[in-house]
Amino acid sequence: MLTTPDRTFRRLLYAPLVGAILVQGAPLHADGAEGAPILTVTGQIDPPDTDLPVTFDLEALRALPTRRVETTTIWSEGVQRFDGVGLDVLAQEMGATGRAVRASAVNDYSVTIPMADATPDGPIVAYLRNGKTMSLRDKGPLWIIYPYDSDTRYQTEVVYSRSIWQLDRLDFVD
Amino acid sequence: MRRGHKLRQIAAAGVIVVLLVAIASLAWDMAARVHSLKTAESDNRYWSLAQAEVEFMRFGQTLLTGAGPDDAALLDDLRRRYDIFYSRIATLRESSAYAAMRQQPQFRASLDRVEQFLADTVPLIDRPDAGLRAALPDLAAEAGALAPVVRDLALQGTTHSAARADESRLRILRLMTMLAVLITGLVALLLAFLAALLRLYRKAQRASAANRRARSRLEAMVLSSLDAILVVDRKGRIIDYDGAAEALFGYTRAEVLNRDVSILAPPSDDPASASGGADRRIGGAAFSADTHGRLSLTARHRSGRDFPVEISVCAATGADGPIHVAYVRDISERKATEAALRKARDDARSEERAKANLLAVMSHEIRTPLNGILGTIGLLRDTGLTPEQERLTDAMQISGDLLAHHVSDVLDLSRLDAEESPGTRTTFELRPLLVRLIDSQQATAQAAGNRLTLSACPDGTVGWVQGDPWRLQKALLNLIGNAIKFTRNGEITLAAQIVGPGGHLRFSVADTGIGIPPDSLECIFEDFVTLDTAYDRESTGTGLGLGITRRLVQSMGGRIAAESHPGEGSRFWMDLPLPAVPPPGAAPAAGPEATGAPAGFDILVVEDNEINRLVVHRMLRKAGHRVTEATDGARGVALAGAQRYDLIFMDISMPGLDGLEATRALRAQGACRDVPVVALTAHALPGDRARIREAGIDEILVKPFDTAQLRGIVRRLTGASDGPAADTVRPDPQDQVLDTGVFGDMLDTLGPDHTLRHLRRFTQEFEGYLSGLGAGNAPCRDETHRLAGSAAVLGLRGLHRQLEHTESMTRQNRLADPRTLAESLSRHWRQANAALRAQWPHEADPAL
Repeated sequence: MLTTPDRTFRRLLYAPLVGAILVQGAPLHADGAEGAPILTVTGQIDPPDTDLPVTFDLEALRALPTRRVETTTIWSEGVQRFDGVGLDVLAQEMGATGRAVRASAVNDYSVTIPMADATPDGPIVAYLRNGKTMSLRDKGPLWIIYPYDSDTRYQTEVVYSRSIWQLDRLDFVD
Repeated sequence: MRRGHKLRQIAAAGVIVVLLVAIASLAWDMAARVHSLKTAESDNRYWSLAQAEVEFMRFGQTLLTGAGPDDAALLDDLRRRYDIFYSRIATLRESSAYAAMRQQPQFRASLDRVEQFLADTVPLIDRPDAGLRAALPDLAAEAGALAPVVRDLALQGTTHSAARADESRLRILRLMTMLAVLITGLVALLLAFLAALLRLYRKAQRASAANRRARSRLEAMVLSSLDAILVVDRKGRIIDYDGAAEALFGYTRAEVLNRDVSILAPPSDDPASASGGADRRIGGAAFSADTHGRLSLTARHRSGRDFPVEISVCAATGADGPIHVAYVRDISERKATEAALRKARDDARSEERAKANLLAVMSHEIRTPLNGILGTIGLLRDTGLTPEQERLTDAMQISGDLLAHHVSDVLDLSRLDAEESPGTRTTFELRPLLVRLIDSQQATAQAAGNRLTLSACPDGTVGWVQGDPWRLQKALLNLIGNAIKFTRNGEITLAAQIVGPGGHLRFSVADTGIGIPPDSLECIFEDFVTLDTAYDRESTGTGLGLGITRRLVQSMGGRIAAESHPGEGSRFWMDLPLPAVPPPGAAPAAGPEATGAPAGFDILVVEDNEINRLVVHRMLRKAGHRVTEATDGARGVALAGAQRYDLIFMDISMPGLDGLEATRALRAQGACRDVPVVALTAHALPGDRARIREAGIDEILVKPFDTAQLRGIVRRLTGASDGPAADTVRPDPQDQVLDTGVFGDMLDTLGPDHTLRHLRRFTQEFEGYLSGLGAGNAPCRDETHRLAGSAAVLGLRGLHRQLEHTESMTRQNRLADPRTLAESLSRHWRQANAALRAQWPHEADPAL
């Protein structure tokens, strides 16, 4: 483990703080208020000297290069169009160096995605479904989507389990 | 057997195909299944169901916590928990992963119930804080009621999952079992195939071992073959060539391989085979003619020397179509031997022929001067000889007679050898022939003190037979003559009897003479065999008598044998096929004259000799025919041209237009161009016969002839055939002065008065002729000929012969002195007169 006990400690210390800020500063409405942070990124990211979490609101994410995936999913009917940021793009933007990313959902569902999955034709962090933002009831605001139809290796239970919806945290880990 | 084998093969293949298809379909199924395993149709469904309950519980917990008037954070938390639960349920409603479960009515009902709850509560949750806070108690109550439903939803997932798992397991199990069965079957089948294959392999190995042995044996055979062996392909190219061939042809194997076979067998000079080239000769023609032919042809050695070879060729199948294997053998030596043998044989043959020719010619040539000598001796006797001279003349006469006898033996022999036809077959009465034969030999037999008798003639059983009377008579005469020669004061018996069915007659001549030693018995029928047992040297013959007899018997289709006891006697017998025939003449009551000839034919007789003409005329008329006479050839032709006759008798030797020319003339045109013509002739040498037949004459009747012969001819040629056409030859008893048969016939035909008249006329003519000769005039040839013919008709054989001889001498201008001839002829005339007197029926002297 590359994390020092000190850093781990600090992260444990700040995490509730951030959560409080989020809850208080941005009411969790389905349509997502302007400027409300919807994604918190932590872990082995650049700059390395800061242990503070990095937050993204929808605009910040939209500012990043957009990637579209059109696919069917096992959770919905018909072909869906998702727009979002490639996981690889996001990792690169963050200067992430970890070998995996722990993704967590609003309901604290959590899964570890190996960084090997983060390829240019791999998963995206989707923020639009069929051109619309996604409410919490609609598995929003963020959903990690793999291009399931493009490859059978994306049609496995492991990949489905990594397709986390109601995503709000990413932690790049070793 | 073979069929069963084939059926079995087809069945096995069918089973394999079925198994393979089954396995393939199963494999397809498996592959699909494996593929579906590779891609999950859902994430963990059941976890999601459970998670829905968990989210509901969290929502419920938050709800139960209750909220104070300002507790906005708690309301937000409540809203979030609600939304999360909402999203869970939305997933259950939308996701294809739960499609199967949604089909279950119970699950459906539960889900509907939950959705109803959501629909009811969403407006409450979405109220502003105050509103929501007020609705909390209701919400709590609703949630409490829903809890068992959500629980049921989760439980149903578990049940469903268990059922699904069971079903899937069972399906896979079934699939696996089937696959296992099929594979086991397939493996069993493959094992069976393997066993079969193994057996085949063993068999093939054994066959190949046998093959190897056979090949090595064959190679040994081929290597040890003395013949050269060539193998030639379809185009005539040499594809194999062995060591013997190298030695035979002089080429090495390398030199001839792939060359055309024509270098070994040059094209022949003869155009027929040259056109096709050598390849045809040794390749095509010979090879295609026969699949295993053996033929001779000419081969060429490398040095250019041609030599004969014999080749035998077999067709076989090579790698590139048909090939021919030729065994070639040098047959130079054999050919040389063959040629030498053939030459030796041909030489021997031609020598033999030359010898026979010489013999025949010499005999013939000897006979003519010999007749002269004998005639002269006769004349000499009449010149008043001293006893001493008389004795010498006797010796000359005896030797001359013997010589004449020998010469005629040899002539008979060569004639028999030259003859191709099996002999004449006519109908004749046996008994008179035998009686006449005995009569004619009586004098000779008595001279030796022998008694000659005809015994046990089957008179009742054998009457008329069919056969060759001349040959029979000649053969019997030889046997009787032989018996007389070797018997002194003994008995000689001629017997005839029927042996077996089919008309075989056995004639035997038995004597009580000196007999024949057993060791000689075998060779007595060969030519030129004489036994030194005769009573005197003079009676020893040429040794041809029995050889001639054997030939005669064989030519008649019979056989001859002899048995003898030295000192006691001999017995010769011959078996001859002489089938009995009914006597000619349908009405036996009509007497001997009506011998059955169909009467009433128009017959032309062309004959210059008056007596002859008359006799023939009378004989024919007696048989009921109408006769027209022509006194020479020209008249005959004129008559034949004007009117059609049924038959024509044609004398051959006529002054002016002779018989042959006349026949040719009447054959050329006129009414009688296709009428049968019978030649009348006194001489019938084989050459003459051919000449006569060439002129278009159908039959030859040799003078002298009797009534039966004449009637036979008429019968045959007018369609009432009773036997194969053939020459009719009158028996020619040797040394006869008068043929009593002929004379008797004439007497019968003409009657004594007429006969006497003819005799007188003949006497007149002949004596005139004699006196002419006596005056030293050369004999007139035509007159001699006419007199000879008359003598023949009268049966005066001795005189006839003498006149014939004279005629032939005249023809050759070799007659010395007419007076000598006159003496000889008058001596014969005296003998003839004596014989005539003896035969004359009346006591009265015919006053010749």
